[in-house]
Amino acid sequence: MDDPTTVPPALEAVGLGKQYRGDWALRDCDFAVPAGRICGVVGPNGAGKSTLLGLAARLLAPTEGELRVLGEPATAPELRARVAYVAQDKPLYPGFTVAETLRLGSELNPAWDDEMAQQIVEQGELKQRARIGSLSGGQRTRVSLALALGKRPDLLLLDEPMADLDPLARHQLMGTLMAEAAERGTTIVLSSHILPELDGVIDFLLLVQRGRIRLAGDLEDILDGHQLLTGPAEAAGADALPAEVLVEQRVGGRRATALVRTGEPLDGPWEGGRPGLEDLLLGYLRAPAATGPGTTPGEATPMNDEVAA
Amino acid sequence: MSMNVLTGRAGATASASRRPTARRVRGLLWLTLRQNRAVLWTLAVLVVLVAADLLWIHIASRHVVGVLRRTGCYYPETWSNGQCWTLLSPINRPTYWYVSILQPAVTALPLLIGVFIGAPLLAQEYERGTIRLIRAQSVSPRRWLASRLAVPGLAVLAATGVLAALMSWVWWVDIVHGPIAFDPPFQFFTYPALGVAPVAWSLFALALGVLIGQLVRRTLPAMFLTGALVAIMYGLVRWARPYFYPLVDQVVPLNEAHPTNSWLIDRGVVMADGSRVSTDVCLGTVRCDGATASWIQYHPAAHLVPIQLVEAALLLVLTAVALAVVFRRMRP
Amino acid sequence: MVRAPDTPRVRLDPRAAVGHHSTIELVKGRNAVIEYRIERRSGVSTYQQIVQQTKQALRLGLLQPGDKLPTAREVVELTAINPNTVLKAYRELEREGLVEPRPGLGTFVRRSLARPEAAADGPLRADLVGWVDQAREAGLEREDIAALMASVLEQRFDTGVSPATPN
Repeated sequence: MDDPTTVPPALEAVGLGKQYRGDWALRDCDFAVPAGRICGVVGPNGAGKSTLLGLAARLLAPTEGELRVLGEPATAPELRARVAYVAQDKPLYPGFTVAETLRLGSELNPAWDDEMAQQIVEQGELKQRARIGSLSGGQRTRVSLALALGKRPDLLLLDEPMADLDPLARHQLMGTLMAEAAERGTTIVLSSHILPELDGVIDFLLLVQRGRIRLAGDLEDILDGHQLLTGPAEAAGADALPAEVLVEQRVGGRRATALVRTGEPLDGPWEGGRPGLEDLLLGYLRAPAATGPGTTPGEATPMNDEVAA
Repeated sequence: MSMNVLTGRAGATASASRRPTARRVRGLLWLTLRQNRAVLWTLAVLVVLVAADLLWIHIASRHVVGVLRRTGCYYPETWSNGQCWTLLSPINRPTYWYVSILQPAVTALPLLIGVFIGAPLLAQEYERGTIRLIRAQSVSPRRWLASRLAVPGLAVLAATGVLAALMSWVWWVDIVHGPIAFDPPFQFFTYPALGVAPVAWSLFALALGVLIGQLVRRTLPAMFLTGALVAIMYGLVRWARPYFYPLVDQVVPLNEAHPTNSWLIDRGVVMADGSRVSTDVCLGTVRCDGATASWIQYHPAAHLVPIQLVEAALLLVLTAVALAVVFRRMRP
Repeated sequence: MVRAPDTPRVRLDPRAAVGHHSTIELVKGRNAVIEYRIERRSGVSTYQQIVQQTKQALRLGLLQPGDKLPTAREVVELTAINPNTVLKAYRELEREGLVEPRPGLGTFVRRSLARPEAAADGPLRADLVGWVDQAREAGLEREDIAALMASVLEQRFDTGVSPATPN
């Protein structure tokens, strides 16, 4: 929404890596999430999504590489007030009441918007005097989001925010998040493994798989750059589709489907179409990482182009 | 409901000025007071209970002493008189309470503070993940930590300070100067319940518990480990305690006892050639038959204060080291 | 809860709460002016859905020149879709000359797509009503009629290009 040349990216990673006890949770990550976007961080469980968000929320220090947040090094103290984070397990003090938890937000955050936080809590019909320990998982999520949004951040990092919520609460809170983004241009980075939750919501995609970034870029550009092909089963031979564009193919009955990484028409008995978000993600998640980009230097290039776009 | 969300937002921009007023405690202090509510109440109740107990001990002792003085039964020589003995016996109850209940309780207090206040303080924040909640706020984690530690630290300082002062006062007035004055200050349950010892040990145990909690990050193991380490530390300090201050080394007539209320560290005999033999060696042998005098090494009661000050200084240095490590380990 | 007189009233469709679709209704005076209904699983991008539904409302005369479209904030709060999508759809409508943004006020309809022939009281509509009644008398179900209609439309117009295709 703002001029992209003057506003620094909300997140910018260069060679970012994080190692836990010898295992790399995340490695060689290069991407930039422009400000004002709603970015989905998707991937299977254990892919490194939480690590990525934890690094951005300065809960973790990178082992290698650099991460800049809103144009500042991730360790800059000024970022504390500008970045809000909701962890996957939604930690809150179980002995506090809802009112006390929101007061914690107001006491520790100078730009606190009490009305905003109260509305989110009231929308869920939570009692002010209810103890956090007595709330359901979904209600705790609501209080956590109230705490994060009441802070009025420029960047909102949400780790699996909607997992515990019923459909009504999910819709309400997603609407509230979107409204906040519309009104203040807040950048939202949310991870999820529930793909339908992201459809229509995100406009930027980070696909994380086995600690690597496999796709990063504007969602429309990524979808335009892929095709979901269907054809007769015989067409799905070992070398029927060029290996450099094939992401994944499957044969079911007499039909074969394939996801390819090109917007150009291909030879052969294939009917193509632009994939949906879910088609795209499922295709990548089903494909073994060895066939995707990011595993060899040559194949990583198109992904970097998407980042630059 | 959803309409409220939309239309109600119109006034949201002006909300900063609409903060609830009349809050006396603000910011981090509010949070830490709220987080330590149970600790503060427990300490307050403890201080009130022990103080009431000590007051009762003092009043009861005074009463008995008054009766003894009026009836001429104050001096020990009169106690063989059956009537005087009857008048004296009520002193046993307050003395028993002080020596057998309060002194052991105050001796155990630092350990309890370390285990139940120190160890869970950070361990619980890590175990429940609330440290990440704090890290997500606008306040610096180290500032939060300072506040998180200062409130229980000052509360422990105040509570143990009051308790130590009252314990020392009753000990001095009613036990040492009471009619049956006998409670040597260096005894196992007497020394740690006197003077600055309860304060210094409590602060040290608190800091050690916090450090263990931060390292272990799980509440129950941190509590057990803290309890064990405080106990081990107490054993080590007690072993080293005689050397915190120079001993009095005296040659006295053969078999003369060390002074009342003093702490005997070692004794033996002086042989005719001037050499010294420890009593332990003499036992059951004829080696010491030619002894000309005895020698004793001890701390007189007057050494209580300097020894306690040296010990307190050592503990406070260790406390400071533990806190420095805790702060260094908290990433900014 | 005082509302400025020109603020559009937005209502959450009760069905929207549980399904993957939401409705947004703009009320001017007493009459509903536009209703966005986002179908998450329709296969049509949300951006296209907004463009299409706005055009539909313009065609049917439900939106008239001078009417204000709901703000992006109002749309996304109740549909839970990406605000950039709404802005993109509005820009597309602007590019086609259908709406115009007035800084600080909102986005307003410039031009109607309503054709007198397609109006509610127009003769073409009356013909179509008659034809649908005839089809029902012949025993066709609602789905049969819709399929027949779609098939005829595809046959009569260009088969290769569907209005749902982007760009």
